[in-house]
Amino acid sequence: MNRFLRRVMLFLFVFASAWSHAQPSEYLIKGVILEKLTRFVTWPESALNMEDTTQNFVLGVIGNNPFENLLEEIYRHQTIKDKPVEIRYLTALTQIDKCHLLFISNISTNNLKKVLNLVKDRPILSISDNETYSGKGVMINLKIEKSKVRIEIDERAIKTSDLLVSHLLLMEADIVNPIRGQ
Amino acid sequence: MFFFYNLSIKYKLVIIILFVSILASSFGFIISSILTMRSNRDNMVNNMRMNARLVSDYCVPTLVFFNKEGAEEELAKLEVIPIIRNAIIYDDSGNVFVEFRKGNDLFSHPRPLSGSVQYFRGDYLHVFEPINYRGISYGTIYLRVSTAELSKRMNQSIFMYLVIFIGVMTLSYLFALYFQRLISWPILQLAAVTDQISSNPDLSMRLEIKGTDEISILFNRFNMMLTQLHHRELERDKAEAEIKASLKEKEVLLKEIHHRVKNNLQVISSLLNLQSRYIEDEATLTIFRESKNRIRSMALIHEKLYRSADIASINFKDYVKNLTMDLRHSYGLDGSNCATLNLEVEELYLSIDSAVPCGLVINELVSNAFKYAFKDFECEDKPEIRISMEKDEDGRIELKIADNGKGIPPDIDIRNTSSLGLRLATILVEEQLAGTINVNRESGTEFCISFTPR
Repeated sequence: MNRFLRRVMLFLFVFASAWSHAQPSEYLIKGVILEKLTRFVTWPESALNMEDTTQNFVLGVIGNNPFENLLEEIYRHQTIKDKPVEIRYLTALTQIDKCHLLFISNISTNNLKKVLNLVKDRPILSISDNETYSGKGVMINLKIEKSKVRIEIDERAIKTSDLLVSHLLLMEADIVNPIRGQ
Repeated sequence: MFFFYNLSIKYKLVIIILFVSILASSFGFIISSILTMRSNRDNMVNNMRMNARLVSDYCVPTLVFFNKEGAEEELAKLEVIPIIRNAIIYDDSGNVFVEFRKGNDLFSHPRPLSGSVQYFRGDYLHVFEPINYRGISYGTIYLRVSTAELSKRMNQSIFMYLVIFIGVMTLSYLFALYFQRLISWPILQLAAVTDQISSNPDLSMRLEIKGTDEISILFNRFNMMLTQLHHRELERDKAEAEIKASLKEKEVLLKEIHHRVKNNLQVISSLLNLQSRYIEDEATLTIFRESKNRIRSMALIHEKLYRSADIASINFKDYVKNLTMDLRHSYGLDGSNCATLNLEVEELYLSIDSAVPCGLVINELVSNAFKYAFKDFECEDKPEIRISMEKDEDGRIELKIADNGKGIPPDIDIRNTSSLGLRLATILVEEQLAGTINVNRESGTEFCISFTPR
């Protein structure tokens, strides 16, 4: 069975689960989407050296872990940017700077500010799934609309970071804090 | 091809120029049509590839996030391109992800081809472009594009080329008609001058030379040839004048010779006359008189020759008249003194070769008539001597000398007689003139002589 069919089946499974059960299936989808989002994001060479085959792609989760062990399941064989995925559950802010992608789960507003301050000047793609974080500086926010996961992008946050996000992703997503709208 | 050879040089040049123009224009027309057709097709292919790539780029996230609605929205943008009749997005497994269909075209989904493939089939261009993003294949986009517009543009191009072709042909014809004069006019001028020279040989004519091309060289050579011919003609005229002068000189000389011969013969005749005064014997005197008359007849011929305009022949009618008058004067005795001389001589011209023997024959026969025919005749007897001379259709001269005298006795054979005059006449006719002589002895004497003059 080829890769696409596996992906389609995974999607069907995820959507079906999201419809009938709840959290685990939703986070399965979100876990898969994390990799898909990275396809449209370019990290600076200093952060993610594509020539270095030994380097891992570090996926950090801060706050409560909503994925349980789904991320490990998903990324056991799945690579991101052709690199093995290393999943880190962060317990201290100092661990943030090693991450390439930071999934911010439910944390306090105060901590969110701290986290975003740390992330702001670093090549770290910040993603959350909390609607209250929308427009507060998290680069990508995943939201559920009509039982589907929608992508919301904070364009200003993206623009001020060292990351390059493809316009294709911007077109597919809902934009908050648009630069042109200023 | 034979028809072409008979055409005037003007039309030959026009046809050649038109032929070359048609060949070049046709070649250009075909090449241009092919290039335009290729260019249009290439442009169409490139445009459609570009459209496919643009759409496919925007379809990447829809494929990644399995967003069929988004993909359909992207494909729906192709609505603004009327010639795109169908579009399909295949996923990377080759399954139809979304489809765009314009109108109600009956259309079955083709199998997606790997890589960038374009081909024309029927009235459509089929375009397959892979959907790639950052080295990852997400599927294939297929466009089915109507080529009706392309065909219409091609037909318009061909029509435009045909109009241009006809215009170029018309211009070529007009230019050919105008510029053919540069070549044909000098040749026609040459032909006209040649024609003029052949009808009215004026070799002083010359062609006007303009330029230094081959035709000018031909003109120059033609002028040189005319100069040479003119020079030769002048030389020929000069030689002809010299020949004429020489001929005139010879003619004068010949007349002088005839004059001197006549004078000498006259001197001989005078000497014989003087000598005869001392002769008392009648027979001897007759011999002298006859000899004198014979010499006189010959002298008369030479006199006539040098007096005639044409020294080669003499007017024999005048000669016969003079000769017979002299003979009457010489032999005018008895009845012959009042003998009538009837001359019926045509205007004949005889050369010296025929005139001398013929004159001697007349001298002998008329002398005989004067001497013997009318012996003892009185004037009341109406003696008559008739001389007729005419040329028949065959060019033979019929000479008749007749008298109404007493006639030659029947026992005398003119070829075997003691009369020197008759024998001499017979010998002269048969041997010198190669003619025939017959004698008719009824009512006088009639000699019928026939010969062909030389």
